[in-house]
Amino acid sequence: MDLTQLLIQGLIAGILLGSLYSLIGLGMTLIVGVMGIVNFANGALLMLSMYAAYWVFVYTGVAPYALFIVAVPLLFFVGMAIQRGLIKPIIHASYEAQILATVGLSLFLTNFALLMWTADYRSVVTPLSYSSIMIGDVTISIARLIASGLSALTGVALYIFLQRTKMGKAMRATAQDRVLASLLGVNINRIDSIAFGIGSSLAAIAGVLILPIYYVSPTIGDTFILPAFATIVLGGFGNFIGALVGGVIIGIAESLTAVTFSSEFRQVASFLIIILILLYKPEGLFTRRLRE
Amino acid sequence: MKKQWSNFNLLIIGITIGIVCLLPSVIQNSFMVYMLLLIFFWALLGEAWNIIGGFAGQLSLGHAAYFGIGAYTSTLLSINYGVSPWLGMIVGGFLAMISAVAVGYPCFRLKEVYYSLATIVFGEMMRLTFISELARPWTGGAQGLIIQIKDNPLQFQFTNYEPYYYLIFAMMLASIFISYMIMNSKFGLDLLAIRDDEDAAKSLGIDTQKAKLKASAISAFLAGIAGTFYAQFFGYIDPNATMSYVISLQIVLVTLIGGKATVMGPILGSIVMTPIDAYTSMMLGGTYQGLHLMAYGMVIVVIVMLKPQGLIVLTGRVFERMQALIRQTPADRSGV
Repeated sequence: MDLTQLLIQGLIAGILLGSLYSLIGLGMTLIVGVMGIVNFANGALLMLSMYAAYWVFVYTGVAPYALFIVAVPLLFFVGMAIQRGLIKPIIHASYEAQILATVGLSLFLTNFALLMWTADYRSVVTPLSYSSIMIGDVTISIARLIASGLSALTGVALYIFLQRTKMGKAMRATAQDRVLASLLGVNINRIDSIAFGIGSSLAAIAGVLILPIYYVSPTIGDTFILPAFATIVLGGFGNFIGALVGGVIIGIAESLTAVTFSSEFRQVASFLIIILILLYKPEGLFTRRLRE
Repeated sequence: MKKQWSNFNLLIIGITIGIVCLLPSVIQNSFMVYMLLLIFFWALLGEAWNIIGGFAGQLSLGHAAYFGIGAYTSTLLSINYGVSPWLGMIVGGFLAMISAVAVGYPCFRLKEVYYSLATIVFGEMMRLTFISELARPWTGGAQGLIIQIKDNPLQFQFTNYEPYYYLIFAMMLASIFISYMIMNSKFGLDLLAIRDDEDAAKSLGIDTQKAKLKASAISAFLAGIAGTFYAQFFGYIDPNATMSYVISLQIVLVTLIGGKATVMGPILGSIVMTPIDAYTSMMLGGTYQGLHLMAYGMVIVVIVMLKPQGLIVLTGRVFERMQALIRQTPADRSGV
């Protein structure tokens, strides 16, 4: 395989992976946009949704993509519960408290999973996990292609929700100015709750999508949380389009690092992008924001 | 009156240091000595973190990286080039310092949350780099590096606990002294001002960027030399044991429990946390994997929700009572 072909393969793999980062990043950027809280527990929520889907799969044997029906509503309510119990009391607290709250939650959930289900790697193996198509000389995994397509679809759906529905407009209004929104009759507490629910559901969608591709383990969230951080920093906090494009850029950067250098240095790519962005364009590459 | 107070404090400090120095020969129980040593060790890390995380109010979640840099620098220098870890400790401290400045420089001009994010990602990046196949020839990858400990004081190697005990105690005292000096200097006041309101601090003419970089550099240096101590004491390092995110959180937790932004807080936190941690991981580590870290997560959340000031407040009250009792003259007692 020559270099150009390798690069094209890497590029496509990067776009497919990046769309998952976009999906997870969208959930985080929604939460940070609406209530100003960076959800460090997002990776742990993704892990939880994977376990929920995994166990349903083990006991019922339904098709992997049918597991959305279980994981997404479950994580929506988990997200709402987290907002009620943990986020609402600290919404006006110092930034430190806000970070430590979700960091603590993440540590708790990860080790809860370790305690309940041990560190064993589990997988949902279906014929889908191995099938791929060839376009020219480039191999594309079907499961990754589906994951990427459904991520994009989810992004579009979320965009329409934010732009067209009353709830979505209220959410954008809250992101723009919490006090003013509440003066105009928006129940900002309810909006926070739903935004957190949606953010968690997006993690759940990502969780189900990667179930045929990745092993489930208590630390699976860590694999995705760092690129997701890079995604929202690159796109700008609370920036919808930024998260979409940012995720793909991070995916490509990681994939090309893996192809040209070593797959173990993927995270270095994320870190370097974060540092470069913070140095030269800290508000994120994309100026159009969720609030606009 | 003021003089009397400081005399009293000096007396307490002197007595405490005396007792701690005599302890190993009095208790004659190597497990207890080991436990005390661990308490001083975590207190040192807590004091280090407290300078940037407590005084300056910049939440670092990646101190394990500085710790690991210190541990690996001295060990690699010693294994590959025969450099004494005493010297390696200083080199490691400076390398940790440089990386702290490199992480802080782009972040400190921005909202605080960026700094926390960058420190987390930096820590993980270091761990994954050190554990990688590419770095394996040097770092030993996940298997780590073993340091042969012989009886060689010049090479930072001792065969029994006592020298390590006195050494870590001295290092902890040095960190307390540094903390105390910072707290009682203009630099310390600058940091507190930054913590309380950075914009206001800036408008008063404080170079906030410089102050934060300085604080994070001192903090990272102390964490780095603690890393060398760890390597030389345990004789074994690997990236997961030295650089994991959980270590960073443990350092934060020690300080939060004791009381952040206070000189004695991290020590109190360590006195409480270290034995609990040692017992729970020993008792439950095998059968209930994850349980004690789950508890850590819960404690962090509880601290955040209840916003307690840490144990230092409780002891502060007891201490004040004691001082009041001692200061009372017979006339006072009979008087009112």
